[in-house]
Amino acid sequence: MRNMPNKRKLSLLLLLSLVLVLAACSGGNNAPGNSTGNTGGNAGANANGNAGGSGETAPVKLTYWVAMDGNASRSLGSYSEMLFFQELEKRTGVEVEFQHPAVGSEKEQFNLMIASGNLPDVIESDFTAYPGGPEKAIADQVLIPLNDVIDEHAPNLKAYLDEHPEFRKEIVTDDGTIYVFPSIGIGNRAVSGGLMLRQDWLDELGLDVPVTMDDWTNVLRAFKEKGAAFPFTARLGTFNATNAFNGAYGVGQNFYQKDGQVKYAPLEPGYKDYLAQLNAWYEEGLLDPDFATQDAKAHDAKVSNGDSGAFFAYIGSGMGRFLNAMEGQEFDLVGAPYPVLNEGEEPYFVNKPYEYRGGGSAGITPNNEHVAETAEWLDYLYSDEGHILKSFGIEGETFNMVDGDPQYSELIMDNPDGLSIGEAMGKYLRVSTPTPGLVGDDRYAEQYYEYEQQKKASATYSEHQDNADQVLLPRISQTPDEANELSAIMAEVQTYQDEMLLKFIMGSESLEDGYEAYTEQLRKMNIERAIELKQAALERYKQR
Amino acid sequence: MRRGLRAGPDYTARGPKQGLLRRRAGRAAAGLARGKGEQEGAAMKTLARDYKRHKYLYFMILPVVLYYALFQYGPLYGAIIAFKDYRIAEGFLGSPWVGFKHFLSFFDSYYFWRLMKNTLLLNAYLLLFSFPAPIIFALLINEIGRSLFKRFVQTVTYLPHFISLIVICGMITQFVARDGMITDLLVWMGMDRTALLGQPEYFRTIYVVSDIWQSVGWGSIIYLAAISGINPELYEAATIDGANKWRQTINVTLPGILPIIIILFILKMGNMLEIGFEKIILLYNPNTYVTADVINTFVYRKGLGESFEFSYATAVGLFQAVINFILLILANRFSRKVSDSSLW
Repeated sequence: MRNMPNKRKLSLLLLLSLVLVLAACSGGNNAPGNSTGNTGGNAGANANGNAGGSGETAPVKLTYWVAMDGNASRSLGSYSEMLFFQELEKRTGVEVEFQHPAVGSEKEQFNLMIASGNLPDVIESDFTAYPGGPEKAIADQVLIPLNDVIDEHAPNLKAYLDEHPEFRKEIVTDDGTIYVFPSIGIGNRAVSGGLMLRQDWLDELGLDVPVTMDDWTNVLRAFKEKGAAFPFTARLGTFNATNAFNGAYGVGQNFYQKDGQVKYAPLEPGYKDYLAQLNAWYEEGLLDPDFATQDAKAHDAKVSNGDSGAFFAYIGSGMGRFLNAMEGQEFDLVGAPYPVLNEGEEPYFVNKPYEYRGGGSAGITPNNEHVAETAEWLDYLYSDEGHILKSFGIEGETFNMVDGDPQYSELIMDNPDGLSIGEAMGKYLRVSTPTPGLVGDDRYAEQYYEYEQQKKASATYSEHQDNADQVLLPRISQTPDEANELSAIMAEVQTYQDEMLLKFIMGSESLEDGYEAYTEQLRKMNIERAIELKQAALERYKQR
Repeated sequence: MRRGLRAGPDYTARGPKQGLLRRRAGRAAAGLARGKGEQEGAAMKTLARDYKRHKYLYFMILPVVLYYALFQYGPLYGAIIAFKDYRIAEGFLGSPWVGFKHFLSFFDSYYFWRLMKNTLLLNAYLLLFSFPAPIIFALLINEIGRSLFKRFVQTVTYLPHFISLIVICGMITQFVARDGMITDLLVWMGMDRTALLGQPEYFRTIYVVSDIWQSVGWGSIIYLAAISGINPELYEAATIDGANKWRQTINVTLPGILPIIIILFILKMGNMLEIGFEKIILLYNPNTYVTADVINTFVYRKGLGESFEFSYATAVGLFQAVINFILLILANRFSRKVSDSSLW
């Protein structure tokens, strides 16, 4: 080429680029041809095999935006590769093209999608967290109201809602609009975490599983004498994100309700006693002094090397992992019931999720041209057949019927590719995370928990789960203006509360001298206005 | 293509006294920016001639100009949401105006002064300890004759720069935990055993010392480059005058790199109200808020609250930018007066 005149070179270059462009174009032409071929085939199969779908009309193809579950993304590139969705497509004839945001930036990509106005047919997300609330999502033309659609095209969901009017309240907006196909929590094993202790230590010391706060103090003291450096270990979240011990004093962590009135825990008398107890444990060396700074690794290390004998954790990720890691050694765990102050009382503040999970709920966008078909397709998940498919998969493949109960097959329980139960479930099914349809089936929870101790803990924690409905705030929603005002107040209050919580526990601020000033300062920061705003939302909720 | 090029000077040549960024962009479009105001006509001619002569140079600079136009100046209009109640669906232009509401809400915050104090103090400590560290290090390294040892030391000190911040903070957390390496050392020296990150009084020290560890090697590169640019004859002359190594360092090397030091110092001054807050978020906890909570971390927590606070965050960002800008100008002016060297 060196001796070629410049013009020749240039024309060659042009030619080359032309060829490339042409190739790209023809490639583009090919693609739709292929895909119509595919959908045609599926539609045929559908018309023959299944009367449920809308067989005679043109095949429905939907775009579906959903963040991938971490367990699934480990083995799948897209939900279209998932056994459950492939079978669902066969049964319903509805073809779905998935759009997955990158793992870790789901929130940003959700916002980008909304801002761009380039919406798919269905969005599966947590619309209770939509800025300004679900009402705003409808006003923003992101979702369409579904009341009529569900009445006409979703008989299974409609039947469920008619049977459960209390649940219906949870999923509607203040004016009664339904905006998603909800993820519905069923089952009596909803509480997935709680306090745990070393069963082998309790046996050795001849102690019972603690029930009251005094029991707890005794057990922790005994652990200390036995040689545990930090009898109760914790992380920051134990005291400000979960209900570990506060429930015994009749207070929540932040906002909760009592007899229909919104309360803010630090302003209630029980809260001071709660802090006093934690402070006493801290001073006595029963509570790990590093709870505010240590990471999960340090926390777990203290449990497994015997520095600590009691802690708060989840049955699956905590207890299961410890039992698995310590198998063959002298190490045994037991779940303790949510503590109470006096013998005979029942716990109310248990970590029970909302029946309407919020996340994993599917909304239909105004872009959707097949609203009726989409609704029918989603409604299938609320049928018994759809629920089994979603939670247990295909009989003979991922589960077998034993005495009328679906039992996961080896593919799930002892995966040949070495996947853990959770990972295998994530690869084939949509069962362990919230999804449209019914989640938290007891038959699943039973099997998901591998160890006997886990099953027992699950029963212990969930024993009083219905009490939680009386104290936890339901899914109230604030108007956009209220939300703005609240966030302005709460940014300061939360900072202050987090800070003072630690100071009181660690004793750098005295409860006797400082508590008065603390509540005074909270009032100055307008906490009472925040309570009012929550109360207003609660009143609207009751009116639903 | 000519049109695209014309966009450059229009942007940058609006006023004679411009900010640093504009200046930089202006310099990037150096050849273009010559024409201004009444000289427009003549400038156009010069430009056309210049363009003919250096076609390829213009072509090469085009991406840079486009970059600044698209990614630096283009998004600036979004700053208007600082004065609006931004809602995603209504967009930048459609959201309602609210004036200075978000600024006032920040200034009125109970924590405003604490945040200002923490941000400024932490930056001041960085300026006092972390800024001179690479300079001293470069001067020391420069005196090492044996090149193998020198290279070894340099490589070792660069390393932390290449480690991800998450890992760095994980290491720090481990080192200063109750049973950490550094804690052990301090206990041996007579301190009470405790988790250092839980104590507010140690936070700034941990932050600054680890910052030095992270950046001293990498930061010294630019000074070493400057030192190698000093005319060797100066050293010869100094030696003849009987100056020892120490004198040479003070009177030859240091003045030789002073312009670089000043430029970096001024740039640093333009960041006084901001701070690497990712590192703080990874290291702080409510117990150390009192010394560790800075403007950016507070805004971050607030943003995760009841609703997305785009407008509030933008307002605070704008406030920080304005203060930084003023500090930058002042530092530059001060430096020009005192030392004759400055950014512009």
